[in-house]
Amino acid sequence: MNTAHEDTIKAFGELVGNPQGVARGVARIQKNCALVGILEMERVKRGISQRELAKRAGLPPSTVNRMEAGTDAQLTIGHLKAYLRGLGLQMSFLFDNPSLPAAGRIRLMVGQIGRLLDHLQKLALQDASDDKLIEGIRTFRAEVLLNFVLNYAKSDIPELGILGADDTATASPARPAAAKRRQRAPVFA
Amino acid sequence: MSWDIDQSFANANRFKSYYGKHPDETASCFNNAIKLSQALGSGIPFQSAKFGFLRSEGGGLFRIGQTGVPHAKETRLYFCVKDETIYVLDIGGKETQDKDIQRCKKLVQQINGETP
Repeated sequence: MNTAHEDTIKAFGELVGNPQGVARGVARIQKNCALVGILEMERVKRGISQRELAKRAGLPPSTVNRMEAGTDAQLTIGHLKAYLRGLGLQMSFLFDNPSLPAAGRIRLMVGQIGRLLDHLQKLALQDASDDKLIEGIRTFRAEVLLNFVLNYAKSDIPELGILGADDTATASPARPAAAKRRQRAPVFA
Repeated sequence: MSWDIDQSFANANRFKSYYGKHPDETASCFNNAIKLSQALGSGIPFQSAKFGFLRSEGGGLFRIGQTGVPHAKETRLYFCVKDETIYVLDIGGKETQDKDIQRCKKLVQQINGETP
């Protein structure tokens, strides 16, 4: 949340005589309803009413209303997909594994980002008329992945710099020598 | 960019009292007010800001409801808009809505310079 909103939350807090309580309450709501908030804003930005979205999504209007009034935990995958269909959108997923050490989490995310960039490249190639777009995505993809490898090759985290088909963390901080033996050339394709 | 949120017409005692009894609902309404100000600041016209938590009470008065709070008490944050500013006026429940609306409509007239 930006500074202006932080000031507003602080002002609301002062209005009720409990700035910390309000800040905590707002933060909790935002955390519990992050995805719902994104969906709702996407609908509002498009100037679509709840009723219209429901019609496009093939959902009862009461379901759309309930989704937007509820929390992320109350969303079902089926309703989420239908809602996005109503917006004319599709989903992509990016997974994180909080049980991994930071290096492993970074590696996991970069691998997935690499696959998303592959997908972008394929989409660009479908529109063969736009060479600039194709080249732009190719360059961006190569820069992201190359920079990651170059930057982490210089880092003191020995288990980074490994990019391959297996994107699960395989190295442990206690065994840097083993990590170096497992290093392979980065895969850019 | 967001619209400003002005609280100078809000009765602090009423807000304190309501927050004391229903803090989650109050925080939710505040959060929705911020979402509204953000949307308006992004260029969405007020008439096109079709949030589910937003309702008109007539006479230039509007209300924001709570969302994202399981088993919530139905809460209304009353406001009006003028010159890219959201004027927060009052907060209350369903049982006090008639008096809250009456009180707030007078404040709306005051803000719009309509009172004699």
